Amino acid sequence: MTLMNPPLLEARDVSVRFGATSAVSGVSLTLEPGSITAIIGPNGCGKSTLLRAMGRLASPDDGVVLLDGESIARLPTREVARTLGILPQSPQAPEGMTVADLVSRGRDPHRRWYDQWSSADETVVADCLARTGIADLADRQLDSLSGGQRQRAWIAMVLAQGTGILLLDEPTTFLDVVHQLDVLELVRELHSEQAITIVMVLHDLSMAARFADRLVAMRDGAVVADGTPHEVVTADTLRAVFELECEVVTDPRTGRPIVVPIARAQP
Amino acid sequence: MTATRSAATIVPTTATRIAPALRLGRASVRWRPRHLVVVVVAVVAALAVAVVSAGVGDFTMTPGRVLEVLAGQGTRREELVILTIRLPRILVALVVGLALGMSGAITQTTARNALASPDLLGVTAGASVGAVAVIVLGGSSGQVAGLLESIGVPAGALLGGFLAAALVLLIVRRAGTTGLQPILVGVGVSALLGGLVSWMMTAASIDDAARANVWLTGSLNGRSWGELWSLLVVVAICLPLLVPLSTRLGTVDLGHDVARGLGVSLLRTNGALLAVAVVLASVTTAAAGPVAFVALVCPHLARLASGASRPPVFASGALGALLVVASDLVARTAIAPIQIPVGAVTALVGAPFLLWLLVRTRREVRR
Repeated sequence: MTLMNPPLLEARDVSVRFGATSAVSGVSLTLEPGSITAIIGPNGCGKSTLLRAMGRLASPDDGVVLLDGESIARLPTREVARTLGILPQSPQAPEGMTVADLVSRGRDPHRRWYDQWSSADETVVADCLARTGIADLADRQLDSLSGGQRQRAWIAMVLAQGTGILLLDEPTTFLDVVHQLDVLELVRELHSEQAITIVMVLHDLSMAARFADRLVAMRDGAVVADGTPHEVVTADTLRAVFELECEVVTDPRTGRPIVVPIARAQP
Repeated sequence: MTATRSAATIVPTTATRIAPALRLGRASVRWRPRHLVVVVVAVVAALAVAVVSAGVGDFTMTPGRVLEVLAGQGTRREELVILTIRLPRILVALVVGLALGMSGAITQTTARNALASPDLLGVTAGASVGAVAVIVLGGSSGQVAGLLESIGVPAGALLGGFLAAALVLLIVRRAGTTGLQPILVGVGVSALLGGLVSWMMTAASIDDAARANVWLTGSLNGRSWGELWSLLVVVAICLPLLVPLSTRLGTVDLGHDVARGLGVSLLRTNGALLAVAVVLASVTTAAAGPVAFVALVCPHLARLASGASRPPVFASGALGALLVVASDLVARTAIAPIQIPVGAVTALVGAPFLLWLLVRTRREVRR
């Protein structure tokens, strides 16, 4: 696998409002090329909206998202799709679709209407199926798979886009702990193979601390903490972000922090 | 577990065959034999029914004789019956079915809703209002004639279809795009437009109202080369647009967010797809009246027959041609010499299908 030179993705003073309520207010975030970042925060803190704004699925009311210095809103969406892949939260595939069909849609931004299934496409799709460990499931229908396998198929699809940046919105939602580990291990492997920039919205704090190099904690639409897992996952920060009383211990195997929740913090 | 997977990533995978392809130079498509079989079988069946249909009537001919007449070996009388009277009507039936089938497949996929069809989304009702308005308001002498009829009725239907579609989309944006919501909005708008049609019919002269009424049931009776040409021109413009557009349908079918992530411009791609679907449904309504349920039923039949995850556009069109031409044969011959409007026959087939579909897909309406 070739190492990519992922482009720079940057949010500058981004605000997103839904009617009168503000989901994201004035957030600036620069993603180091080749890093794994996890955005954490309580429900409704705006982490998903921020990710969607950075992937041009939500348009900022104020501020701008820059992809290699150019406003992502002004770039042709197809051109963006060759540089940046985004997997929305709990995507739904049509009934009866096979894994190979789904993953081959990832080639869409690259192909012309008269060139729908080139041998290059086939090679990339086969490669993505193999790298996500689902090559033997290629002909299976998505409805017949387990949640973890299905999520792998979706990740294979964005992977087939061949982009230097991957934005994943809660890729582990609805998965049991083993499948969560599976998916996040996969994300880290993909990262170490190709050094692509990865941003994930994650709910599980210990998983986020274990798999990301950088954690961005949000509350009420603003970034309240930003740094390495050790800097962000502290009892004080988590009290401020989640109103959570907890103890933070160190995982003896990974050296990363683990959160042991105790109770809701008293105001 | 992790170790095996890491090992697998090093294995060269270039030799892997994911799905068969047809490749020629820089062009390539997925090789889907079952799709092709459905299209070929439907086209052959539609043409066979067309030939049989051309021989049936007051003046009966064997299919073989029909082919001889078509090849220019008939008597003058046979040529009159086949070429002037029956052929235009049968060709209109084929093209109307083709257009409705394709329109339905596009609408279903773009709306991501198994119940979406131009009939149920108000397009047909809007086209009816436009066409009836031209027939009733334009015909001071009780007959819209000449240029006003051949251009005015299709133009009125197109305009009405577009306005109704725009109204439905506008309301759906506020009411919600999932489940039964768009359908209910379509039903509501259709009811409103149906009221408008009734109002115009009541206000119209008896002649205009009678003409409009036959047209409103969806009739191919007395279709001539005039209707055929205007229909053919529109379908001939839409078909080449659909070839590139239909390649994006599989991505559109993954939902708004995923499709945008894959570089589909919703405004341009979905907009163009819906516009083509509305144009096709509106001009067929102008040519033959609202031929009910074809646009709803054919995409499902095409999807089931080809075993695909979404209705294939061209197979759906071919099945539409077959359904309408066969329904027209039934409409002409079932209680001859009285001719039932073709829309009544397709409704008799289509309405039970819709009910069956509602029961079957009750938990999976959102596709």
